[in-house]
Amino acid sequence: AEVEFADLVASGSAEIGGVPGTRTGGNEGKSKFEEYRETGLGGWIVPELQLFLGGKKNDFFVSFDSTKPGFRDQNYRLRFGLYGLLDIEAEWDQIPHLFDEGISRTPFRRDGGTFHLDGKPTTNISTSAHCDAQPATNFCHFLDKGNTHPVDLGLLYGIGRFKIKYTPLPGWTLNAGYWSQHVGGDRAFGTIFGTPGNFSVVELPEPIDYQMHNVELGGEYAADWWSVGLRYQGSFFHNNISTLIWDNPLNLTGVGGGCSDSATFSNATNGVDANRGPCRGRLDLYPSNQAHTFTLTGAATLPWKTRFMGTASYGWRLQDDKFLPFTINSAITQPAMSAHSLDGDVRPTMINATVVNNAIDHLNLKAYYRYFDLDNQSRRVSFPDGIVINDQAGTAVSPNCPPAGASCGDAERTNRYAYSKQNIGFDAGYDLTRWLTVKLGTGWEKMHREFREVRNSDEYGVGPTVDVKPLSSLLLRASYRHSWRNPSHYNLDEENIAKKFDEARRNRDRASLFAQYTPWEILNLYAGFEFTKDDYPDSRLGTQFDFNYSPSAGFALMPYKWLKFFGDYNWDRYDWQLDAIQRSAALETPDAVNCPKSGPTRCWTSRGLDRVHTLSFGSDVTLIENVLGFRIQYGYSFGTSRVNASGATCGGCTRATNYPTINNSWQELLARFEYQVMKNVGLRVGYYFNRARDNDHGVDIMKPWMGDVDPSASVQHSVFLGDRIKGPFTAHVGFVALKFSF
Amino acid sequence: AAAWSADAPPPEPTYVGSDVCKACHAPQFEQFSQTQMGKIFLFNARTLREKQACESCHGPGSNHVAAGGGRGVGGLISFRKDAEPGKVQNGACLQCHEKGMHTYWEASPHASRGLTCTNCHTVMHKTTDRYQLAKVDDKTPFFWKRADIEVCGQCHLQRKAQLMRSSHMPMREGKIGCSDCHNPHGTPNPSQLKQASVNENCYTCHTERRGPFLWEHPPVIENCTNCHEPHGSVNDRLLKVTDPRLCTQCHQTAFHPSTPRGKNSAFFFNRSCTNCHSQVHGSNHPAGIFFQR
Repeated sequence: AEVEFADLVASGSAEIGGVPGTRTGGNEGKSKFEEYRETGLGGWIVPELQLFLGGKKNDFFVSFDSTKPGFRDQNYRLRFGLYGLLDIEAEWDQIPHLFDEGISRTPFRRDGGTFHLDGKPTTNISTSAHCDAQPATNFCHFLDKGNTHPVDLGLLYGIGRFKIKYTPLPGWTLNAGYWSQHVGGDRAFGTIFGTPGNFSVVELPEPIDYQMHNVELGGEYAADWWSVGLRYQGSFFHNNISTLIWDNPLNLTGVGGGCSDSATFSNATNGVDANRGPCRGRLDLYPSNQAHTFTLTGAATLPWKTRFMGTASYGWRLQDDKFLPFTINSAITQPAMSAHSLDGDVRPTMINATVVNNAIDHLNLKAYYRYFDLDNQSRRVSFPDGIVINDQAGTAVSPNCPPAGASCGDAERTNRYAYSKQNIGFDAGYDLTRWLTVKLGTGWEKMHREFREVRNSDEYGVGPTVDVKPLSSLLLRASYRHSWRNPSHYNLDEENIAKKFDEARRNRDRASLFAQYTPWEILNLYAGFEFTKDDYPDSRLGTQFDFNYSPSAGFALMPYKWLKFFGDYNWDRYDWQLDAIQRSAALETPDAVNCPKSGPTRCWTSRGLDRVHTLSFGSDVTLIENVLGFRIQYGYSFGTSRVNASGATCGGCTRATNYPTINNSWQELLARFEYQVMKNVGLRVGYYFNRARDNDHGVDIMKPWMGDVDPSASVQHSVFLGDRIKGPFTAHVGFVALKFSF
Repeated sequence: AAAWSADAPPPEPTYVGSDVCKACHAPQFEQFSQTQMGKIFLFNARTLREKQACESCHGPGSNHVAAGGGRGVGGLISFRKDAEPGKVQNGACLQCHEKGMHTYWEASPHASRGLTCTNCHTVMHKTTDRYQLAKVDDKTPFFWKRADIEVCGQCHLQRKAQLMRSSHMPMREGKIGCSDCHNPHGTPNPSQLKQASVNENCYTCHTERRGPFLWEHPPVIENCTNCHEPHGSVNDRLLKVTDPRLCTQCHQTAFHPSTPRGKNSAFFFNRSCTNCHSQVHGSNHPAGIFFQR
């Protein structure tokens, strides 16, 4: 429907409704229920607005769309222009990311990036006993006694976009765009004092206040047989809170000015202990940075049915935030640094040339070359006196020092990690008949890395692709590729004797199948199968293999014009295995323990088994044509993640054991009537059911704060926010909405 | 219009103009005129090709008219499934759409597998707010970010299922779509990504992780998907493997990284390794060599 007035034509629709309902599971459930959305449960909602305005001459247009105005996940978009000449678009979009609401608690007061404690316990931080058995003066009880306050964890992305596309002449296209993103909120963030043996986590609600600005300018010219385009992208990130400072709750000498720094972190277990490191900790959050990229793209149609496509891009990633001092701890002398900022300068380069040829009937040839280089020209910073970590003395490290707290004074220097990849490939496809196409693809990737264990590696791949369409109702697609990666030399570091899966020798097999069968117009059947297997034959320790296979099947059946059924099912399996050795020696070779072939008492193995079932089905029913319709659909996802482990049976070893299985499920049911009350008025009445359940031992045992995190350990005293305890939820949501169209 | 005998080759077709098409195909004409392409071709044409309107895509119609019409009669490109080879159908679109984001179409995996533009797009009537995405069924949403998951999900069944997992990006909520990261028309980049590398793609939104940092974590700067499965995971934070095993895959140094910690260990619960190594994406603190500062 359209409304005409003056020289204008208008059309659009607006929907308004109510969302009565309940959600059980308390606040614990809200974080998953409204993870990236706001439901408006119990209130009013305008789900969608659409307005279109045009000239009767069909020369210009203005459109305005909105979803969920007034809500935290609202979206507005205005678009206008002159057909074929100018297209301008402005958008405001919000994405909430809720971690939890009403669960987390913290004893800290926050002022920007600084966290203060008003008070501290005065006696006895910890003993080996669990918090419940501790005297009332213990730290964990201090947290228990109303000294904490709630904090909601979540982020809100506010995204503004503005784009112009101008086509002054048919061959020319000019683009300009600006995109801004602000991320604000809090999320849980772990901080630590002491070495891992002194494990003392102080989890904080990290304040997030990111601002990003993106600019894009581009122009393209296209003639009959060639085109060329140039584009500039600028990205500017600013972190408004780049430093985190927090009081150390474990240093009991006082609060604020009454606290005195201690150079060392003591493992003492009883009594008031001043040797709990500094009064405060300080941490550098993500530094502000910027990036600039120029991209030149061209294409040309050449003789002999040949088409050339090429791209060259060059960019800079820059970052030069001033370094913080090594430590905030006044009891420690600051070690020297060769520079006070990184002068970070990473330059990505990409060059691609691709040629496609169809000169011979039914034969399709493709050859390509691609070069990607991440050139790191950042300053190498050296630390001649070693590095102080975690604001404590006695923890200076460098690569040549024993890692356990030795202050060796050797120089440390940062590495300029960098890499480049070169890819060459050739594909040949031939249409054997109109219904059968076979293709063979080959490829070679040469990778070069700086400062890593593998300097050069080559990966070769080859495999066929087959597309079969013997009947207009039947389509089969299959592909397989085998690839093998060979590092020229793996420089196994005796400090870390596992071979890393992203560098190690690897054999990979990938297969993909897809079939679609439509025997009658009323029935569509389809199925797919994805398979990937990676083997690491040279990795004595580290990842041994991983594989994934994922069969799917689905259908759509429409036995009558007014009735339709549809459904999908997917089963996904991901398995992996890693071999490891429990170590106490800082330097060691795998051969020294002959692991895992014989005498493997320190060796252990872990296997992961992830399984996911995903199911959805539903039906559309037209009860009265053009008047009354009904849809019902159900979605279900159930996943389990199991980690088993065995081995490490030697005396003094921590025996490898299984982890409790993680499982999570998600169910949705939607039932909806759509009634066309009048020509321009529609009524939607529906019911939405949603249930989620998570069982994760690593999360379920969390408390808002945990004095003792591991009863088996002698000294454990950490403060957690408790945000991981989200629990299951069940939601019943109704909705009634009227939609007006014109 | 002249007729031709059955044993003689048909004459070279000529353009008859869209008014002639409209005479028989009024409903289609009306629907097409509501689309952006229709508005340009029928009312604001600047080039000869645009002025040819219906025949710009379907081909010159004189033979079709002379034969009295009919499906596939007169050598027109009908764009019906299997009526013409995919390259012929796509060739009509590529006359205008072979630049910009379509530059690499000929080299794309979708082209090499014989997909046609009309597998994913509808031309003849208005569908989604942008990109004229094909309706998978009559409930396909109007907003493209919701619709493109349905369109891509017709073949990419595993990916579609992954979006339903507990740990996921805001895709099923309609806030991002497949084509926010991928260009299905082909790119010179792996997995048809829009940016030159996986990381450049992720940095589009996660700019804070771009660095460069004083202390870099090498597998992080090489590829975010070394640790994350961006399409959805049963593990928290889109991790491919449960922590702490994810880290143990590479880190088997002395003491705690190589010890198979039990289920109640602080090295396992909550955020596991990142309870302490919270700056695992890189640190700019002089004391951040272990990503704890």
